[in-house]
Amino acid sequence: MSDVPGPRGLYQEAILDHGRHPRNRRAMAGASHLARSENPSCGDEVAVFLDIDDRGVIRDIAFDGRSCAIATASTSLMTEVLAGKTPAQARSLFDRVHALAEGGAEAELAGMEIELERLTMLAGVRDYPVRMKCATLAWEAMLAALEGPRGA
Amino acid sequence: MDGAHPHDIAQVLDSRGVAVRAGHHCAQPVMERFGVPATTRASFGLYNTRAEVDALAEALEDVEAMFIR
Repeated sequence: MSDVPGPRGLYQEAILDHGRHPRNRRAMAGASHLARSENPSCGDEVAVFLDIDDRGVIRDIAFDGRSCAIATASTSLMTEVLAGKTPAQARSLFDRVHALAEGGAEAELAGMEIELERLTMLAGVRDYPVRMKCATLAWEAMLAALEGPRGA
Repeated sequence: MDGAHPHDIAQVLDSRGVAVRAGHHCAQPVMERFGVPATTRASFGLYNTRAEVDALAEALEDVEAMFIR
């Protein structure tokens, strides 16, 4: 049976690598913004921490929580892509992730071609509707953190 | 399968033609009792063959290679 093709579009090597070795999974003391998001269908939960400086730049971003490989990889990738960005850029990239996962319109984002290219690894969830939420879970927490009251 | 998430396990098994159930199994108290977010459950019937059990075992080795090693 091992010659039966696996869900390769879903579990690309980059996804598996981020899933096994997630970047920036650590608690952050003194985060300026934080929020949690939960996927009720599987119980996975993620907390996202942001440190946004006075000039409105995301200086640091981290997360905490255990989830499936897709969700962990998407979260890990998010922390790498959003470091150094502004909240406005983060919102644009959130829209792009939603479009990738759910098959909506893909907007051009001038100056962020490298980030967009990296995010395409998440496009495999399109063929697996029950896994779409896995790819967007942490991004929703990030958006909620940006919208929420400014913390410490 | 420590380190592999129940839904990832089920997804890979599905792609190998092995149907299992993953999640809470409508039994959240059991998940709390064992301190796990969810589980993957393989069930056998009278009709299952030895070859099908071997296919499950082989697919689980793929799961280990993908998510744990």
